[in-house]
Amino acid sequence: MQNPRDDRQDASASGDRALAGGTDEALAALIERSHGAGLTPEQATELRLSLASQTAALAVLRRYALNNDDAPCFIFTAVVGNADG
Amino acid sequence: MDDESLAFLSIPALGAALREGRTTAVSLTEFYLNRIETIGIALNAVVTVMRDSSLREARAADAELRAGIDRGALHGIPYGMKDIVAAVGAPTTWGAEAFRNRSFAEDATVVRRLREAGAILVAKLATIEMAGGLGYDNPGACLTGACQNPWDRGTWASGSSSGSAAAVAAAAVPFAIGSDTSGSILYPAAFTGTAGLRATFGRVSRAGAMTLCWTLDRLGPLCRDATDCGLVLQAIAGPDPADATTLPAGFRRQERRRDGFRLAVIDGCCDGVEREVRANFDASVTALSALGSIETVALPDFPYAEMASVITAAEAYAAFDDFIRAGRTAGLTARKGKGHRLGNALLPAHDYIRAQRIREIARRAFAGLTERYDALLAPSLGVVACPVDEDFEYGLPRAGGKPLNLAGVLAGTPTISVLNGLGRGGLPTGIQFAGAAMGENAMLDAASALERALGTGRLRPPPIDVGAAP
Repeated sequence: MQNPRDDRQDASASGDRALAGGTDEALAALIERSHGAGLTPEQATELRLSLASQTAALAVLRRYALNNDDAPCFIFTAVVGNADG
Repeated sequence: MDDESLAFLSIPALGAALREGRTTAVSLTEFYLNRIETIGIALNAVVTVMRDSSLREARAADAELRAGIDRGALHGIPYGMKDIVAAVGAPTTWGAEAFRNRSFAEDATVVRRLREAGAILVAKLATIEMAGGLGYDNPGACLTGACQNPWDRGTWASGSSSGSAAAVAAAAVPFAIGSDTSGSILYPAAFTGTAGLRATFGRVSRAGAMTLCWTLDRLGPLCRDATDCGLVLQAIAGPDPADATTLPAGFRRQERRRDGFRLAVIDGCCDGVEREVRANFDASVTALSALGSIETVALPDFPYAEMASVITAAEAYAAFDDFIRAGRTAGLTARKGKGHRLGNALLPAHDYIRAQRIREIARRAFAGLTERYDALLAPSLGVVACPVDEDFEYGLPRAGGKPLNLAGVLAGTPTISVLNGLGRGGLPTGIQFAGAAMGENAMLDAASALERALGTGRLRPPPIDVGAAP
């Protein structure tokens, strides 16, 4: 039996393609597959709004030029500033 | 002194009354418990009243003072805690029906530190469901109902630290602890005319608090003024093995200056804000210009909102993974929360990493700017409090200071919002001071100087008629 987390990874990969030009129906099907249950109309509406907003945010970030050595900001181990205790 | 005046005393003034024998910790605790049980509950600001345990703690605080043991500024001072933070003896609901009866066996580090400082926990305070982490656009997305603003009960206290802000604004507690991922201390402070401090990332341990977003969450105080915020921060800051992100040094509040400040206004920060918000901001800048130099600077140009949105989406989905996958969002009060995060399952990992990579570049650019000044200035929000019974636009509308707020959120730098006047409908307006990393003392000095110059300490909401409908 397939691990549900593997299911989700599949969904995520196809989701990326769907986000690039998929339909609402395709997205809803992906979410349904990922969550194992159907969505109420209320949930589907919020999901569509959320996906539209997420797609727009990703489009903005994807336009930003990065160099290969630009590392992510995860942990604040060394903070620089006006240190005053 | 009448009850209303007593209730609105600052922490140092309450401490002086305790040490001079004009009151006791038990009397103060009884006094604020009464306000919590009447005013606090009427405002929907309270989840759990901790009457028995707080009176026990108060008796111990009095005994220590009589024995000559003085734990410092917070000794014998009652306070409230946002209900996403664990405290033994009360449920920790995260503001959600799903966790109404859930309790933890250990106190959060911030609760333990406040107890060690002699402060007395009188109530767990209302929060937006899961601190808003699953999405919300209605003030009523809260286990205890929409939290009313003491300045006008027909308006909202904002979120997600709704109860903390409303309870402090109504003087139902002298101070409270809130949490902030992308504005949840700053915005309620602005709406309620309280002082809200988000200290440098790592100053305050999050151990025992609900996680919404590991790389953004911070805990911090909501108080009457900037001075009180500094005192509370001193008590709760410090390294904690239970939170690997905490900084190695503690924080010691030291007022160093009352003038000679180096300040900068963010260019364009008043674009689109309400007329009164602009007028109060301009008056604040005028007052501050007599206390130092003020330049106008451009905020480094980065997609702050998009970064915050994508980072929160990925981390919040991960933090609530089991809850979401079990279909439990369908049971949330927030209409938006029922479906908002589901699509984040499709957020590619490389896009989350991309957001964090841009964030690091933005963090360095913003640090370079903040290090040149004691604080950067902008309105905390572009609007006054919105109606309590209507949906608000996601992210709050026309929020003039949003880019500066989000720059500080992403850079992990400190920010405080303080009251700088009254706007439309007699509702509070706020100004934010954004400091350099570890630069809380200079930032708090500047904020306190403005409070003194404007005399905002005299401004209070009208007395709450607990029997009246809002």
